[in-house]
Amino acid sequence: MREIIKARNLTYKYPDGTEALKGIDITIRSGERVALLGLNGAGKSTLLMHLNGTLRGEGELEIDGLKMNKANLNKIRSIVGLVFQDPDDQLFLTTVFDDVAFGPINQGLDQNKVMERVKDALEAVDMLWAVNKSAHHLSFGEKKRVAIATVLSMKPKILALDEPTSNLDIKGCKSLESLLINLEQTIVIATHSLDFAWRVCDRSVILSSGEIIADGPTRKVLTDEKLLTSIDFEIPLSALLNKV
Amino acid sequence: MCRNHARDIVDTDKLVRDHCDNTKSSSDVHLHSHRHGKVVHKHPHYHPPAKKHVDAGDEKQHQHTHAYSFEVYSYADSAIHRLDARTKTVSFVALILAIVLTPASEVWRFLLFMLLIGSLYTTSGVPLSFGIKRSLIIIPFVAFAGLLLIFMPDKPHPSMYEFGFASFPIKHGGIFILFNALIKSWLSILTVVLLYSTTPFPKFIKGLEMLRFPRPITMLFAFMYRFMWVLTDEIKTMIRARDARAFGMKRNLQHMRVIGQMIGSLFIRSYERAERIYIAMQSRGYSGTVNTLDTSVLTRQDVIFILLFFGLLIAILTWRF
Amino acid sequence: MHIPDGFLDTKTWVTTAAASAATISYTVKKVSKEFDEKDPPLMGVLAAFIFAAQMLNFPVAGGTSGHFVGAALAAILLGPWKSMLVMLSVVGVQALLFGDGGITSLGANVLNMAIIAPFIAYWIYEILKRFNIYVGTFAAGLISTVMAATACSIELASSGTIPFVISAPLMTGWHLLIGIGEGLITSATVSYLVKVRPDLVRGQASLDWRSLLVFGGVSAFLALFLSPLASTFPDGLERVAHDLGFIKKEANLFKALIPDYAMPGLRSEGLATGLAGFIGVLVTILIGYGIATIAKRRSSGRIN
Repeated sequence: MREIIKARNLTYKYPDGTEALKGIDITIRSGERVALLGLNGAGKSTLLMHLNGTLRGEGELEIDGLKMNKANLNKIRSIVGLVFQDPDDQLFLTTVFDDVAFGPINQGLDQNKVMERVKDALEAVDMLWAVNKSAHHLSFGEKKRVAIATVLSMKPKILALDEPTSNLDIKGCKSLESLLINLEQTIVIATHSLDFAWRVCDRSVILSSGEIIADGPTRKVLTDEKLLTSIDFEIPLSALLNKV
Repeated sequence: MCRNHARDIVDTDKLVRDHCDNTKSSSDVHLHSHRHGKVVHKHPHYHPPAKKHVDAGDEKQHQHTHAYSFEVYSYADSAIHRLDARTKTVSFVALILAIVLTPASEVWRFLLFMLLIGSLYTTSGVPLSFGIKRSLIIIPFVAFAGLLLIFMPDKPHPSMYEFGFASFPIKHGGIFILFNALIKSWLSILTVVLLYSTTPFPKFIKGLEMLRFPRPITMLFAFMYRFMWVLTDEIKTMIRARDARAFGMKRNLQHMRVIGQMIGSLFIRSYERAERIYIAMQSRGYSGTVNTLDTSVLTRQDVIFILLFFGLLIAILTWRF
Repeated sequence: MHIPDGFLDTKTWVTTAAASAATISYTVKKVSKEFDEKDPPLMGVLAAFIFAAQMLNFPVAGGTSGHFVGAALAAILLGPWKSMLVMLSVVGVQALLFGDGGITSLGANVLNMAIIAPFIAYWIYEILKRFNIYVGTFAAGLISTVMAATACSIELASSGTIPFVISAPLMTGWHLLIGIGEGLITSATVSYLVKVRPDLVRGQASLDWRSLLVFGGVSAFLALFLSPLASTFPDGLERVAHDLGFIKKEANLFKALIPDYAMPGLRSEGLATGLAGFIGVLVTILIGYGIATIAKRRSSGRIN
């Protein structure tokens, strides 16, 4: 499997001087499902936002063989679909159709192709029935699913999600889980939910204060009691049940 | 059975409309799932198109009641609802123009307008009571104009109230002015209510765009409409939070300062939200213009309606006894 | 203050609609020229913000309450052009989605609340902030509200619906009280923002002279069309007001109370008075700006 995300010594400082990422080295291969774990402020969201060029730090970053620079930005944004935490930030047009069609239209596709993409994306998240509805008529869980569709319609190779389960009820979490497991894309998820990471991601990366302190198969990382307690984590319940 | 409409922009085939649930109007996008052989499934928030009179009670169970109090009928289905947004906008604005330009002394014309509006309400399934309730908003202004009557002398007006075959002299000029304002404002607002109750606002905005309204303004409307409810929710939360802590708070200056802080805080949140939206837009390839597909096409029904409607308007305006 | 359909006569609603349309298309062109990619979502969200902020009520004289309008705040935070478009959006959506304000009278309502109010607020703030920022914000809120209300009275009077001598004191008086609340809230808001996010309060950007020209043009246009066309348009309402002569009669009563108002026996005079008021505001602004500039140069560099 080829390397689809390659970061070498990635460093980022916020305008106020806070060092958010301190020399991140990470390689992600096509098809992997990676969880980015860590406490608030560890750098998870910051790292995610580097993947599609929203933030630009120092160091090397290659997405699907393309160097992260201004010239490649548009192409990279078609490859990396970033889903933000608050769906209300992501659904900004008046109808679901318009929101999901926004990406493909910007990619320059013709009308028929756009319609096809929208249909496929909404079907994938089971929200086709809402195609003509306004976003403010949907429940939170429904909005989250449409938000994912708005990115899926661009047919990205990498799906990056920032806290997809925050504020989501159990039903929403479960349907999100099955959705992500069935997708073919490379997936990178920044999450607080260790359980979710255990169930969805085969690889887990733990960040602390801008540095990677653990990176390995989820089965290993999230059962390493010593490691987890040293950073105030716990072994997730799902892991304990599985083990037993 | 349902054809695959991925290629079609607009479905004008009545057969498909009858068989496929998700049809509301000719401008709706039709995307049917055929892979698993299932029809678009129903969902608790889904509104079946067959109902003529949408029960307002259904909406109360929905989380977003505030948006629904105005839009309760906007997503229903009827012959009027199915017309293109442009048709309705042009027709109803013309109707308002006709009403406003009618001299107040020719009372029978207003009766005819009332009949026309009434029949439109009936056809669309929007209850007239809803329209009347919404029209009460003009009361302050009418009351203000009514003040006139106190100062008006009892001087008669040279014209006559004309009711067709009968006419009566106008004894009180003040009442005449009040009548003019009242009947025109009332009929106009009934028309506006009809317009937004038969056209979802997003479609209306799209209609304006297709009628060549300046893009910056329609984009502004679209974004505003999208976030109106979100921000209203936020400020309602703030008001609730304030009320929970502000027992017997002294009014005036202190009160104003708290309001100022709430508005300031809402402004900052709005600004930051706008920045996040901009980032989300950029992430999906935004480069300055917001492009959406034009999925509405004028149908036979639209043309017939326009011809009929304008014919009626001209008839009402020019009828002489 | 949102005038419904039917309250304005043909010449008034047509003229104000034309004036508004012209001003807005100029504003759109101006904003488009200095287009920032962030503008569409930013202005839209801020329009939604103004709409939401209008839910805040404050007590006005006894049991009644007024609500925050926001035109002044918009002008202070966004400048004259963008705030006009933002207010246009608010007024437009209110008319189209809530029936608050008519369709034919949309031109007048836009003129009052989306053109006159933000414009006057902008200029008063820009000038007075050199003395004291809070005097500036308060005055901007107060005076813009009062002027918008006055414009409304003029429009109603020009239509013969409500004579100026009645509407002006009532409208202006009521909006004087609301304006105080608006001014206080605007000041409080700006004060909060200066503390928390000073970068969002527009800095000392260069004054937009073109907005003065536009406003002067609009006033001139209205004066030109509304006064002499007083009896040109066939309209039943005009004849009423004229024939009844009630205005002449009442002038005796009110002249004693309000000696400065021109005798509204001819509506055009009342109009001319009102419009003269706008020119007067313009002149005052110019004089004020002149004085402020001189004062600034004389003082020891104490700006803002």
